Amino acid sequence: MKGTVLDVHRVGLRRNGRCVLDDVSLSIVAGRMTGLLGPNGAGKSTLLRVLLGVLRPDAGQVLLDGRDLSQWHRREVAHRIAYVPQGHISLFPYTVRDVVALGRVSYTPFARKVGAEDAAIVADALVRLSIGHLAARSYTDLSGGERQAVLIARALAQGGRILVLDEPETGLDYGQQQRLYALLRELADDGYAIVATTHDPVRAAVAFDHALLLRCGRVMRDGPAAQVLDAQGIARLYARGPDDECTGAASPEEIS
Amino acid sequence: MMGRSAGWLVFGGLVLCLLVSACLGRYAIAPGVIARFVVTAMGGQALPQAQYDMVHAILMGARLPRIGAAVCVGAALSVSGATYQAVFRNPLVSPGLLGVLAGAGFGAALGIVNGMGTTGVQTLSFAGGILAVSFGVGVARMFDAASLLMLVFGGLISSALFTALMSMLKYVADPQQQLPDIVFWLLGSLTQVDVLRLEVMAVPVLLGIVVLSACGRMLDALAMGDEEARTLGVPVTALRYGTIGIATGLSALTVSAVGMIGWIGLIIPHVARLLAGPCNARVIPLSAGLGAIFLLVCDDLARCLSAEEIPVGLLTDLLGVVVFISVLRLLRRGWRL
Repeated sequence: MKGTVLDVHRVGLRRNGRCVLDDVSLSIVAGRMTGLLGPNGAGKSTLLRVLLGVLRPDAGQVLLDGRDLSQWHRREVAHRIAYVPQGHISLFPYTVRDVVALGRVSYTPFARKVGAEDAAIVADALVRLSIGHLAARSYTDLSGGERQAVLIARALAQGGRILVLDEPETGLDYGQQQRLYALLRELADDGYAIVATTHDPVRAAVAFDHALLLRCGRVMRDGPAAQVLDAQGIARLYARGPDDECTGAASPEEIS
Repeated sequence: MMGRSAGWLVFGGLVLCLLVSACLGRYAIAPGVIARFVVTAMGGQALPQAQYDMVHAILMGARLPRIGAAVCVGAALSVSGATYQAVFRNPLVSPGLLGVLAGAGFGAALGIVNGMGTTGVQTLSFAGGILAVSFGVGVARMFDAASLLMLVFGGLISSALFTALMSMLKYVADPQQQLPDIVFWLLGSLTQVDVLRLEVMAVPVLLGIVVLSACGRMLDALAMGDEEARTLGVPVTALRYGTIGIATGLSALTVSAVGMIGWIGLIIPHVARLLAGPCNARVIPLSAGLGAIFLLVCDDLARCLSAEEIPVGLLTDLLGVVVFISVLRLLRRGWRL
């Protein structure tokens, strides 16, 4: 597909003898917001890790700009794909500026200080997220919403055009969620490729362009968000069923 | 800004401590005499020959190697502690975590029981420290090389093993001569350091500090968690084992040279963070300076408090408690304890 920056091709992954991902394909396209949905344990987070290159698939491949992800240097990947984890608490009281500056660490890993050019990029990222006033605050003192803004700013500072977010709306109130998705839309319009897992199919149908519905490690539906996340799609995705436990021990007829 | 002024403060404090330490001792030397000694040594004629020879013997033969050792050991242990705390993302970690102290103690005891000389004991001690950490890391790798928790468990097991082995050596040691030697060695002392040993120690210590400081920003990324650090472009496993390797080498080197010196690796990095914030590129060099100052002061006290020298390890333990209690109140603000 035109504009594809990250191409997941028939990926399979087993962990502890259990099939976590089975024949999953997905195209991440610049300027498009892609949502990953599915019940708990469906393999959303695992797929996210595969996209980031943190987990290597057992089958199939992930192509970044046409080249297998595992062949890229870790640093080059960091310059293209940025990860926004769920807000976490670091034990060390780094300032907001320090945390955002870590987005630049792969450019000058052994530097004692953040260079002038990097400092300008960090300042830009802070302004873009409207958290310039927090720059000198301790990251550990921030609220959940502020912390997430810091992590997104760090991802922007990393310089890549692919943003991977893990359940970004977790812990945010309604207004914060609104602003988050408005920002992500703005970034997508700027040409960023956005991939996010989410637990909110109703919002996803509106907010995302494209959706991949995962169930038990397999793709249930893949297509324009509004289309695949219709009432029937949502009902089927979250329905209780014989494969509810996601044992992954697919029987032969299921595979065929 | 805070970081820079703290750096100068510590540097100034260190220079002052060095000068004071050179003056203090069984034979006190006035600062003026030291200045004139330096002038004479550089070709001037500021001191009479007899006095010059005496000052030369005291300073070069005994005092300066010892001061150098205090600086090296204090700096090495603090840097090692700061690195361990960063790698393990835990403020309560000290360089002994992976068993280096237990292993070095065992090695030294083994040397003493076999009647070896100082060099033999120190070599065995260094080897013991490295062996113990390798064992701990090996246990961790048997199960899950990437897991931090496994590494801690490996260290626990290794520490327990080598502590037990050392107890066994204590049990079989000759109680008249060898056992007191082992106990005294474990207390830690800077008396055995001469110029040669100092040279062997100083170069790797300095190199280690430089390399670890250079890894400071990547260690900051590691503080965010393994997965995040990877996505930030940091080679997590290589960084972890590389820095642990260097930090372990540093502490094994110091323990083998001067015995067990406690607390420094745990407290000094905290004080450094109080002064300069949590960024490791600043914390590590600052820890080096602060650790050097702390051990210099302790060693000055060890030399001067009584006619009979007090083991410096004992003093660092006692003084460490005082320092730790006094900074704990401040620490609570920065840490989520």
